[in-house]
Amino acid sequence: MVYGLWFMANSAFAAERLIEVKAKKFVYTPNIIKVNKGDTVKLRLISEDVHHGFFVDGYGVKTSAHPGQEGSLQFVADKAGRFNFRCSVTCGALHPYMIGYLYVSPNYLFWGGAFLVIFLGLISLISALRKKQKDERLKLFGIIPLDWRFPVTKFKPVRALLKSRWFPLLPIIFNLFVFTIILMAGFIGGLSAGNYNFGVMIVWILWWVLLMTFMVPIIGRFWCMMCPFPLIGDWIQRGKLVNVGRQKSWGLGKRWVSKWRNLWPLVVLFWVSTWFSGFFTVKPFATFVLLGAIILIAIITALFFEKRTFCLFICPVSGFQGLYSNFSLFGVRSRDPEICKKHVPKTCVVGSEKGYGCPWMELPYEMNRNTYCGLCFECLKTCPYDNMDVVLRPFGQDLFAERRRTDDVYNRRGTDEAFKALTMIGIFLSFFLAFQGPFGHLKDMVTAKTFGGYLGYLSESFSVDFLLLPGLTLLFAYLSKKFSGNKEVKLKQVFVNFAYCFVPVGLAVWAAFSLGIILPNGSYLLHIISDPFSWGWNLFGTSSIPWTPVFTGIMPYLQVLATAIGLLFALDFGYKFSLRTYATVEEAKRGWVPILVFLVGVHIFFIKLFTG
Amino acid sequence: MNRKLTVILITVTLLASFGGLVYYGFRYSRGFPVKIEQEVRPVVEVPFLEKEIDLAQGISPEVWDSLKPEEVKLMYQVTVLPWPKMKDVIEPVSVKAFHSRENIYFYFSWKDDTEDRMHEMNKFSDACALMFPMDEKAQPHTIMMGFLGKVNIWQWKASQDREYWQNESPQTKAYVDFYYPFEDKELFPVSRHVSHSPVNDLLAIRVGTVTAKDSQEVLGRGLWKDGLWQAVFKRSLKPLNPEEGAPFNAGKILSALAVWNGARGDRGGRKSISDWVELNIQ
Repeated sequence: MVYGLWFMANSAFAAERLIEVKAKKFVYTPNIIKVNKGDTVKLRLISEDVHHGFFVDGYGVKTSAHPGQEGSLQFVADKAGRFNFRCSVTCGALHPYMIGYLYVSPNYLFWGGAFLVIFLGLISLISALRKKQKDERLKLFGIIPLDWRFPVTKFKPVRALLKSRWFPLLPIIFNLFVFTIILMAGFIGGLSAGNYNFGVMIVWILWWVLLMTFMVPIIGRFWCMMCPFPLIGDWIQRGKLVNVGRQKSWGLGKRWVSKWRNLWPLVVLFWVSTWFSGFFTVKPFATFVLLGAIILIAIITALFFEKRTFCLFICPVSGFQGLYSNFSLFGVRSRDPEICKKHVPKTCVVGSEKGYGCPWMELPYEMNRNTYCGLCFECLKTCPYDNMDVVLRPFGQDLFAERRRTDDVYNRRGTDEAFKALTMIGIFLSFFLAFQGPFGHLKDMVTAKTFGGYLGYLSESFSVDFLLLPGLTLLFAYLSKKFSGNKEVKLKQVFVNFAYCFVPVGLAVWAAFSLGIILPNGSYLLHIISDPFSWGWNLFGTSSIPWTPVFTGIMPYLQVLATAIGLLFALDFGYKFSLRTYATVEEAKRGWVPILVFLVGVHIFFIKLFTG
Repeated sequence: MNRKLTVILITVTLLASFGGLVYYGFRYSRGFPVKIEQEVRPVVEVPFLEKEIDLAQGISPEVWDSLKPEEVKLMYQVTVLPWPKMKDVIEPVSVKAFHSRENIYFYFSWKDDTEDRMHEMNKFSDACALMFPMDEKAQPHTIMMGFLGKVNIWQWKASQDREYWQNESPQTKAYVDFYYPFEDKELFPVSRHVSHSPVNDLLAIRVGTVTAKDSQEVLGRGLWKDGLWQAVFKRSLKPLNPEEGAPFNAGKILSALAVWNGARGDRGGRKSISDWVELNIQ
């Protein structure tokens, strides 16, 4: 009966809504439309500049309007929630990101998502409060021991593959071919719309999405393994492409400045590279300039500095891959430390006739974190005892690895990694609001329509990335310390330890963001693989396939799911960090509460971003 | 020392090469400039003749024989795939004109193997049109008639000619447009009634805005004989409403022509068009 009354109440208010929407590069006015479930929406689309479309995610209905003509659309809003409406006709550089929001009340998904976040928080709290003593062996979700490992290289074909000098050279050469086409397409494409350009689509739609949804969370620095950018530098340094050449780098072979042998340069460089996101993610020529500059810097760095200095301390996308790969399922580790201890000289460091000493300047024989391991597998090739393995392990194992090298800041858990984790969240926020939000003024700011607006974007980015998020984290770390009652532990240590909660969180929200890119825009890929240079080719018969968004109806659900998974890991890891930070279980419980509240609050905000 | 020098040389070379590439790419990032030879605009003389033509009696070939024709080249207007081959473009149109201080007359003739006066399912009427820019500064090209400014268009259609002069009823009751929601608020209703005439007197301000005028001021008549169409337009020299009709003051004004070959499937935007033609009104 209650359901009946509720249903009648909702039905009784069903109305006919006549909405006039004006479309202009790259914003709709109104950009937010609110209706009730059951309403009949009659929409009139007016273009104020060029041909624009109007497609409603989840409903699959669309219309378009030329300037001077109008498009009309009628549908019954029978699905509740928030649905993006987006331009369906290529209208300029930011066309894929011309978005508005349609709210069909009641928004069950948002309230459901928020409830789920609070529910997970409560479960975590109850589980923490019930803890009587510290576990001797850390377990992921209390099930899988975090130190569990399974060496996949115990399978002979896998080891043979990784020991071959052609691996990972062959994937690198394949990617070199792909990136040559990307650079050519970017150069030829000029300032045309990016959604029909091979360079823009492969790099910023396919590569970025694969990186954030698969490569980094599962395999870690999988992309670094097959990245073609350092190939020329390697060749110059070694004198050989396939076989083993010089162990000592040709060139000046300088050592990178000691105080910058950490993630700080990468924190800053990635942040600086996002200043230009409004250009290189949408304009082919800007993509060419960015990638060309990165390749150039990679080569020049190889001439001046030793080994993979560029990958370690300069490449803008290396930092988050390094940090996030500590969460990944795979890693390269030594099998028996005793064998390594006795092995002199350590060929994984100095090299042998089978391979090079670690190009990433790690000490593979005692490596216990993935941050600086580029998965080149040279250590597998050089180890005469086959004592190096690629291991499968639980997610996040490395986040609990203790510091081993005390002589160097190179391999530590520190503020550089903490800031990397936090700035990645801030950059996600900026990207989401600018590229998947309905706000035209933000798109204008990111694309530097006015100099003042652009400065505003840079200021906002700096404030959020380096002040607001670290500030909030520091505030809750301070509360955590206060609540714990522990006066010995340093606030910096509390801040750094809990900042690692944002590693799974960052991966999750970037994966959710990536879904918002690939599902609506993935079909453009079918066009560009058949016609990479826009010369009218049809190599695979797919160039005439029209724009076809897929699964945009369930996209918000998938984004909520990704966010919730991120929170699950953050809660599980967070309490373990608390136990490590504070001396006693009681202190850890009390210290955990403010951080838990912070994480729950942040995730409700994310749910709001994706669905509310 | 040698190695240091080599490294620096390689670095400088790489930087210079990349800088050059970026400069070149940015310079031509909006495409390469294309040189187009500007053709000399055809000039159609519009002399004063103390003559009037009664179109009810025919197109009066004897009047037109005394005037010098101007050949105007046409090109096919690219609209939808499949684009027709260039060889299908209609051959040049022969244009003549004069005025009698009361009325202005235009004469078109062009080759067309078939006389298409019917407008039925999958059959399209032959037609021709004149377009006059109403704005002071016309854009350099006429492609997408009306896209770039306000224009007055006169379109003679063989099917309407047949209905008007031979008093034959239309072959079909089908309507090309339909009313859709918000019609009342349309600025340019697409289904407005066009007055019964061989010539549609139209206005447009950009693509998709072609609209029949309230006052249809232009009369016309066509004659097909031996694979040749001849069509004549007639209108008062001064328009009823200067805001809606092309003015014909003494001096040079611009005009553009269009021809539809119904047998080839031309209709709507599928037609052959000319670039601007100058009318020298004496």
